Amino acid sequence: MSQKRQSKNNESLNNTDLKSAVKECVRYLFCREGSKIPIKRAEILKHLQSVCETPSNQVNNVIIEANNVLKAVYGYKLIQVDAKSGVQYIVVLNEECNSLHSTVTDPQQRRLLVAALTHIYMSGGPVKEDDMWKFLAEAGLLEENDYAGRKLLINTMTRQMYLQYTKVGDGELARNVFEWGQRAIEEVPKMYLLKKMADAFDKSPGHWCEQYKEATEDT
Amino acid sequence: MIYGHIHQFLLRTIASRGVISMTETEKILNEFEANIQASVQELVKDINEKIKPFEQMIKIATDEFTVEEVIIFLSLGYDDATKSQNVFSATELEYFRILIEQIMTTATRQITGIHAVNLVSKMKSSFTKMDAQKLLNVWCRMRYLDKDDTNYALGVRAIHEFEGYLRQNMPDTIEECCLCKQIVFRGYNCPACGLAVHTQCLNRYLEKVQKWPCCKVEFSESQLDQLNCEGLTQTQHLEATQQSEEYNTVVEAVCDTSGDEDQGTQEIIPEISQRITRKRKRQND
Repeated sequence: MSQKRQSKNNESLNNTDLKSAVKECVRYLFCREGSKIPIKRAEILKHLQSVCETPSNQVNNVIIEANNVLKAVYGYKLIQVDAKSGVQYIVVLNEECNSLHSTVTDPQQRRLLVAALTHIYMSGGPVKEDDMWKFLAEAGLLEENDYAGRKLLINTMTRQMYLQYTKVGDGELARNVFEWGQRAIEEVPKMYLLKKMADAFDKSPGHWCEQYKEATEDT
Repeated sequence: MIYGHIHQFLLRTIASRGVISMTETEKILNEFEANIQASVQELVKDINEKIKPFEQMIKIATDEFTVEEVIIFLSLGYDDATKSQNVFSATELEYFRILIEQIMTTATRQITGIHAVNLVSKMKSSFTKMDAQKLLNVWCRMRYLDKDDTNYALGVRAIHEFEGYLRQNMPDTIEECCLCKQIVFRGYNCPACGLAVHTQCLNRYLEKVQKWPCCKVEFSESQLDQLNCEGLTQTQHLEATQQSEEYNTVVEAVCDTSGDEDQGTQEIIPEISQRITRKRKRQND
């Protein structure tokens, strides 16, 4: 057994082994993608080692190949995210897509997210936590004392990297603010949000010139 | 047509939605790009070639009940990779298994909403009825379940995705139709001889003869109503009524508002009930 491993480590993976490892990696990434929670590199490594005995020095190649498959077949790509606990990946759209497809699991959550992202975008910078709650309450999306709903933004959507929730300032001046998370930056088209705004207010997207500039520069 | 953007878009959309009707698919595709040079069938065929190695498949089928043509995304493997999903927790999946088993072993292949939430008492892990109700709503949206006024039955996605799984892992829970020999997900057990038959097969048969196809006993509509009422066995019924007298009203309220708009306001309730169970547990310790 140890000899087998040794020899495997020394030579590069033969083609069939590599192929099956890539296949396994794609399946694993796809299954994990559903929850939108970042996937730790260590978890991918562990899965590949237990299922197809992929030597650890080959894992990088397997992940690169799997990323190519994701792009070619699904139009997704891997983005590397550096976290305190080590390297993680998120699966995002390879190219911005003009329509956000709805998730069935929780349409209410999707509405909250789009509203929160739009509010941050239209404000032109980080949004203070209190302002966000006030906005969502006025929009009729989240009642003022709905703490479970707030947790969705603070925990779930932040973990999924749609939002970034950070503390700024010290002492009495310390505030928590919301910004766009990396996943949102990668895959939510600003023009899409701006067009929604324009529809809602019966204006043209160019009405908000700064936002319009930002949206057109993006693409 | 060369595999490209439209294929990827269609694949992603179906995979994230689970089930989409054919008419909606055509609408979504047309919004995405005008004048697509291929039919949905052709696109699906191309996609299937690409995703076959990953044990996934898109299937065009007819929903037995709505009789609409639907497109379903199927994940066919059952191994470490599919188990690694973390959309649903292990506890939630335990509830799902118990639910499916119960539906499949009930003579009418459907169970009442109250019975469904009361199944939490059969679970090893602790799980509140409110959580169960929320999940039932989610699974209905994902088309794993279908719900009429009062009863839950398996949805079109579960029927196509779990056939292999059920044959392998719960062979005791499945019965084949006495007419077409396919697994009965939506149908009845004959009140006289107990053999299973699809609702659709039965209806087709009844057009010719008003008898049960299996043992040729006279058929009447009232038998089906009776089967529906007997859906709960005596003991289960007792259990259910004891446990849920107070809860019934709450569940009904939740069921009535299961349109998505009200979800947000309900979110806070399970939180509270969770806290209560946890506290109680600690006191017991």
